Amino acid sequence: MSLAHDSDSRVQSRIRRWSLSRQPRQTSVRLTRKSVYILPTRTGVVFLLLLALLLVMGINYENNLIYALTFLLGSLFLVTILHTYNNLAGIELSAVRGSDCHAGEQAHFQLRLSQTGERDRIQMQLPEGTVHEVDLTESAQVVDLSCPARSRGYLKPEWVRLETVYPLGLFRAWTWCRLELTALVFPAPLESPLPEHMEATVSGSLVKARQGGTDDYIGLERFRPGMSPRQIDWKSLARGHGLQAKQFADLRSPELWLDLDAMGAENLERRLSRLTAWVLRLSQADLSYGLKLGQYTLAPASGEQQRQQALKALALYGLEPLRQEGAHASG
Amino acid sequence: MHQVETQITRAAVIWQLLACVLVVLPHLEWLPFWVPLLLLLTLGARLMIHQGRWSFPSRLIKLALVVASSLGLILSFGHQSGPETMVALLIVGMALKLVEIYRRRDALVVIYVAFFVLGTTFLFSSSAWIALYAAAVLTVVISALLAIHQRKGVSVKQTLKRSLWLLGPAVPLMVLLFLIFPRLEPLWSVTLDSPQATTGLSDNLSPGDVSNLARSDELAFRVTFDGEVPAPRQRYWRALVMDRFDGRQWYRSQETGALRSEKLEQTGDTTGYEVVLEATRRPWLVALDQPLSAPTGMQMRPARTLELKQDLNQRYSYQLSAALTYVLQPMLTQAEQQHYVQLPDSGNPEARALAQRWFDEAQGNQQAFIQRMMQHYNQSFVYTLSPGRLLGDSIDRFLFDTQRGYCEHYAAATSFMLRSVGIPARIVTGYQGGEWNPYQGYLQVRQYDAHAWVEVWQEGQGWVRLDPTAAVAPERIESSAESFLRRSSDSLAASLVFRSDWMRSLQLRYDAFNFVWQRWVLNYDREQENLLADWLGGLDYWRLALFLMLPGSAIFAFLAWSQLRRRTPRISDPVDAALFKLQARAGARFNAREPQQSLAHWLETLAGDWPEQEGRLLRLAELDNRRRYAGSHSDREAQAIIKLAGELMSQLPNRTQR
Repeated sequence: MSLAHDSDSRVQSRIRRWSLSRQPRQTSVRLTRKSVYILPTRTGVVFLLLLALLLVMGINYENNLIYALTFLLGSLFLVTILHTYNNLAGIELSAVRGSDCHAGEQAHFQLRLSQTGERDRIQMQLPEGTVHEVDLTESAQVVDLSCPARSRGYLKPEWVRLETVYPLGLFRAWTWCRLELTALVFPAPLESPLPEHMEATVSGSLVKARQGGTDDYIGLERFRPGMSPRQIDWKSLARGHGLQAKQFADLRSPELWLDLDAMGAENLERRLSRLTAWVLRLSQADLSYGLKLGQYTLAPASGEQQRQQALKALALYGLEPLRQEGAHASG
Repeated sequence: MHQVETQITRAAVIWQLLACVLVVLPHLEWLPFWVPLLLLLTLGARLMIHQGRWSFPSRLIKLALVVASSLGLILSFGHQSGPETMVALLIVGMALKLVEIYRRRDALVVIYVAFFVLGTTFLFSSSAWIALYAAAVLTVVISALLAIHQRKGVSVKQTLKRSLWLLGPAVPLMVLLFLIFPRLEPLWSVTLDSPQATTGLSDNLSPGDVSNLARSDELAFRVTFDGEVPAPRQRYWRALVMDRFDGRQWYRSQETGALRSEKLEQTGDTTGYEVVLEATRRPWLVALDQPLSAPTGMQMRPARTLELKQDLNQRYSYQLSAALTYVLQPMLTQAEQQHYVQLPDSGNPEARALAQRWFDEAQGNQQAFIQRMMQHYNQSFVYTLSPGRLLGDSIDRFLFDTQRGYCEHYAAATSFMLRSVGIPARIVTGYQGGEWNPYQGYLQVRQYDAHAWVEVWQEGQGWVRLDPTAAVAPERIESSAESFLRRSSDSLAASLVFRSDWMRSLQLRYDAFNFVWQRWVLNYDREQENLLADWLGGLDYWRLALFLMLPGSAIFAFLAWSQLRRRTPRISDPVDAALFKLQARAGARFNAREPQQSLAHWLETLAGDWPEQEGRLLRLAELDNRRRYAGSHSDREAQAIIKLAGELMSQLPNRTQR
């Protein structure tokens, strides 16, 4: 038996389009009679052939017990329709969240399945995604589905397919749900060397930039006149070490600007990919950087939030209007 | 959660193995010895693989197995084409496939073959026990199929329960289909060898050669009567007529050219009855003396015995009518007279002499002669099933030396003496009597009811039945062989029917059950038309369709309802239940309650969509809030909530109004 259902077959995709056109995008869906489809599987058809053979045997040998067996299996075949349908119907499916990823990776979505009653195994799939088997044992469980993220931007899978062949594999019940699923797909990072002035900053001149800051305590030095009395380390004076001044440094690096327009005439997507790789690299080095994408400007900063904003801007540039984050941003 | 795997679970493997063994078990009695051995081998191998001690066999080993078993099949079944070959092939294939079940596909092949092998069981046996066994095995095979589709870690008990839950509703549907489905003529002819050896009547009779008559209590046939049941002494079931004697044995003559079909004049009522005859592997049938005519498919021999055109390899039932009082063939031609007085030229001189003396004493009066003969038997003869062998002239030895014998001895001696004085006579074999089964109202005739008697032809009266056994042991004829044998001092005979009263009643009940089984299940095709016409008042298509559809859809509706009930959460608190119901109904008409919405909030939004009921909705929201958060649990408020919810539901508009 093949679980690889041909969701690509023309009939299937036509039914799918029709089915999806009847449902709005929702955050939560309850599977009902109206949306669940059911057809015999290939093994179901083979089972019918087996029944035909048994029937011929019953007829030819005029054997009523073989007739009875054939009819029992035939009835079982029919009854299975209800059982298979029952394994899907009544499930409530809601979107929990989608995880961000880079184009070319798998985007992961978390869905919550709640149900009552006795159920067993179902399969779930997102468009082009791999089929996941889910054993419905709890009344509520969270399922992680994935599908390939082909390009940057918001990825909103058109449908979630649920199917089941439980209990005997003779019938397949399936449905497509339109769920409000969203994942943000960043451009695929394209590794390339940083522009020269940045490279120097990143590797060499870090230390110079540090002195005279106010943020981080880096050590003590001899108090010289002209220093702020606030810097005096009273504790060491008390211990009899003389006047010592606490020294602070700013870890803020010089301002690095990543500018889309300053990257030559390369294809936009490639430029965005390079910028993405740089953003990742600079955040890893915990440096402060700003981002300019045409009209959009992201003020220099460092940290996780900056990285997120930069990546989001890169993901959505040219696809969705970019919102300027923070009041201090300027053009 | 995990990726889809087509590899089957370990529990499923065990189910497959169990299913295979169980479907093969009933075939063991006829399978050549090596097939079960092969199955054991592959089963053991699969178990070793299951435990991780062996790995899956290499391609070479598999090839060797296939070649060896093909050779085995050719050697064992090369010359046969019956169903045995097919079933053996299937079982061997299944056994070989067992080794490599790993994926779902392999398991499916095994299970489908198992279904088929299970079906073929009924070709070899059709008792109610086998059917019961098959039902149990079917549950296991279904479990095996279920096991490859369900999740891991379902217990054995749970799996069996699920299978029964699947099969349960299918059973009434099966009964419906069984009742309705038209029974078709075979599409092509098949030969079916009944594997049972037969005990029964033989077409020759040489009582002197048998020292101990082995008689079994095996069922010969069952009879139901349309009207009144004939008295025990009228229950003569004729099967064969022996009309030639070669000095040692009586047999049926092959040249019947000189004989006309005998003419029957009925002088009394007609008795209609139906016989269900067990397989005999012989063509002849039994008929109550005397059958009126031969139904289609049978032929009547000149001496009014019935025969099929081919051997009877399966249980067979037929309807006949009989005349209990009659005149048969009042006139005989010269040739026929000659035929029925035939005797070898010499042999048994003492018997001939005795017969001649009696005939002379009776002055040629046939009646008186016969009377004399019967008296003679009555005086000094003993009825026994172990008369010992008779050497030489068997009739002389019987009449003058041993004087011990069973019906065949008496019949043979009587017709010999009749013929020796020129009176046409012949031996009829068949059954006499039978046991009445009060539980189902039928007569069961067993092999120990087999009997032989004489027909003697008399001027003006035609062929008349003459039963010499009645002169020796009248109670054998008046009651039944069963009770006669029971009272007999003959240990051999008594052992045959030794049973206490409660055992007897149990046996009768059991036989009655088997009769019902045969009549309503195994031979349902014969009853189908009458039964359906009786029940439905006709056999129109619409009646049949209704008969199928009405209960059928009721079963489906019940199943759907019970499934729906299981998956709808049950709420025990009446207030919660009322509110839940309102949510479901109103939610379907207007906007459903969002997961994050409180009930009161939802009711308030609903009031916007449904302004006609705003007052009630807001009141309900307030009550609910108070119940939930103010901790007030007065019955009055609970009643008010239930009442409000009920009123709102009754006021719901019929259509969606958005």
